[in-house]
Amino acid sequence: MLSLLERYPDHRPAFLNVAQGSLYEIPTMAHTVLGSCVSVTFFVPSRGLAGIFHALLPRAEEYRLHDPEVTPYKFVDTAIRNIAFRMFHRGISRQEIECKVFGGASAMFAEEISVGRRNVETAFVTLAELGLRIAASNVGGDRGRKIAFATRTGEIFVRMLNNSTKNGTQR
Amino acid sequence: MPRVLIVDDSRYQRFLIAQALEGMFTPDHAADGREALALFRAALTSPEPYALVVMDILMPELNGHAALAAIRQLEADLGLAENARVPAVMLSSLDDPGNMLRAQFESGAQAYVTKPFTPATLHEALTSLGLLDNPLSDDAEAVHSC
Repeated sequence: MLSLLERYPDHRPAFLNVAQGSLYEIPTMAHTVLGSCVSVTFFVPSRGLAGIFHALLPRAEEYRLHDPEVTPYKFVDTAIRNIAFRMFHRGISRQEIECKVFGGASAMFAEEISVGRRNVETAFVTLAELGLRIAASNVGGDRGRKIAFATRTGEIFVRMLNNSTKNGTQR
Repeated sequence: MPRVLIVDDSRYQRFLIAQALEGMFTPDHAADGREALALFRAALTSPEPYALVVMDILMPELNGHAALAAIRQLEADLGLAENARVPAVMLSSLDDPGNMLRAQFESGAQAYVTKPFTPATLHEALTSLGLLDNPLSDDAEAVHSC
């Protein structure tokens, strides 16, 4: 992380925990670590505006006790809609927004096999429903990912982690 | 320089990809999946196998999904462990959820880039695959992930 901040001295670091997300207007090096969770980055080059979240589960409607108004970034679908609509509200058109999708690793034990994939599928489908273009994705596999997003330039750095999701340190 | 296999039925797209990788890789070109498979098979047991495959999807003869799956099968038949298999980026104009999911969860691609693409986006994918210098360190924050 240090070498990245040396390369981007005007960016302040911000670590995203699970169920956190934000829009950034000032240069920020937003970074997080993903297992089966998913992050989507949103970048509007013409405005210097960016957004990113770290979501745990695919769809809010599958969890009846959850109130998406309270924690919109816990679920992939509500997280995408929240950031997209905040951008639309500012007069940004969908054609101006460049999205990238990361995460969705699969654990090797049976009950979690599909969580990563379902998170990714929800991200792809929700972005398509909103008419948002996915410029790139780096998803799946059985290794976690560390990602950093330079919000002023839209650059993404991804490092695949050596520890597998099956070792129990990641969900 | 390491070798890259660029697979696309458009000569212009192959040129754009090779241009984006200039100075980093020595390119071989294939115009369809079948040709790619033959080149990959020959290189696999050569002294200098490919370090990277960049694969289109919509191609005559054999599409990108089938070609990449066949490449993975060749590697498996040789007993290569998953972490020893050649990194592959799917580079396609198809941006629907089905193709993006299939590429990375079934066909064997580690990353997906949508056309039209910028060299910077392709370089980001290669950095994540460990093929270019990565300024992001691998440190203990991993234990906090989910």
